[in-house]
Amino acid sequence: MSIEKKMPQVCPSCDTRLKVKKLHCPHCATEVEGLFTFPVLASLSNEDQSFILDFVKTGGSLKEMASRMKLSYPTIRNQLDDIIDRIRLLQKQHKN
Amino acid sequence: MKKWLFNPFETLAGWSALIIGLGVIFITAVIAFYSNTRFDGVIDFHITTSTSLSGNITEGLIDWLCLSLFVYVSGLLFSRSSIRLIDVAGTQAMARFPCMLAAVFSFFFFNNNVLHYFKYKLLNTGQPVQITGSDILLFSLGMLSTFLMLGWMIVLMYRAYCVSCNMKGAKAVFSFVACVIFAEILSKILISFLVPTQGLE
Repeated sequence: MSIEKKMPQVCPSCDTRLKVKKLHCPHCATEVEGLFTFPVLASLSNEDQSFILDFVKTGGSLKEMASRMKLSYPTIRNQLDDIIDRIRLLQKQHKN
Repeated sequence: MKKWLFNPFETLAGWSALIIGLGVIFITAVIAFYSNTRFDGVIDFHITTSTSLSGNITEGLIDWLCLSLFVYVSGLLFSRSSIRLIDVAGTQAMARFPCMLAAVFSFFFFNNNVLHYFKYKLLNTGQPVQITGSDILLFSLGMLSTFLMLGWMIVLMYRAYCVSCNMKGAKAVFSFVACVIFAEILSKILISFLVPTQGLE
């Protein structure tokens, strides 16, 4: 049974947002070192990323999302608005 | 279970909530007609000696529309989301469900004896009436159940406001309290003009 690893977003010690230092090719073992910032979408929580994927897959229809998730329209709209707020905050942090 | 009791709006809003809510308002008016109960204000509950069905329906609709109006305006002013009137109106109508139970409880807990007794004792009107210990006990249980229903209704109204207008935190609490106060005043004024005084309260 394989365990799905969660990519840590913040430092477990001081809660600072983490950056990528090393990338590895599993095919040829090439490694790239540097200091890369996570893309904004990848910086979101797994739940938020899953919500955005579903949203895109339904063609951006909140009504269809609500129907699939068996939640009311305003509940889904509120979740989306909360994610938009988090994205704006992350974008601001990435600029600084 | 807890979600269905205190925040059904996470799963139900819009037109379906409005249809259920209007059904609740009309059924409440019919039950209140037979149990001599009035809801003559957004968060008002009174027992009386007689009511009219048309008066009860008008009161229910005024109560619902007044709060919906202020909640919608508050949402437009303070929410960062694009809110829909149908969600506000639907969820606020559904939030009046505890009124229906309060009207049902009136059948069991309140009788005219106690009402006339308090009228005579407090206002010196009518004829002196003898009441028994069981009358007092039932009346107390009625008051307790009524307060519980009103409390539940206020929680539902607040949750309806939070969901339909995407409001959170202190801003949600203070703006909701203001909405209820303004809606209560407006509903009282409209009811005093549109619904004739019914029975003894």
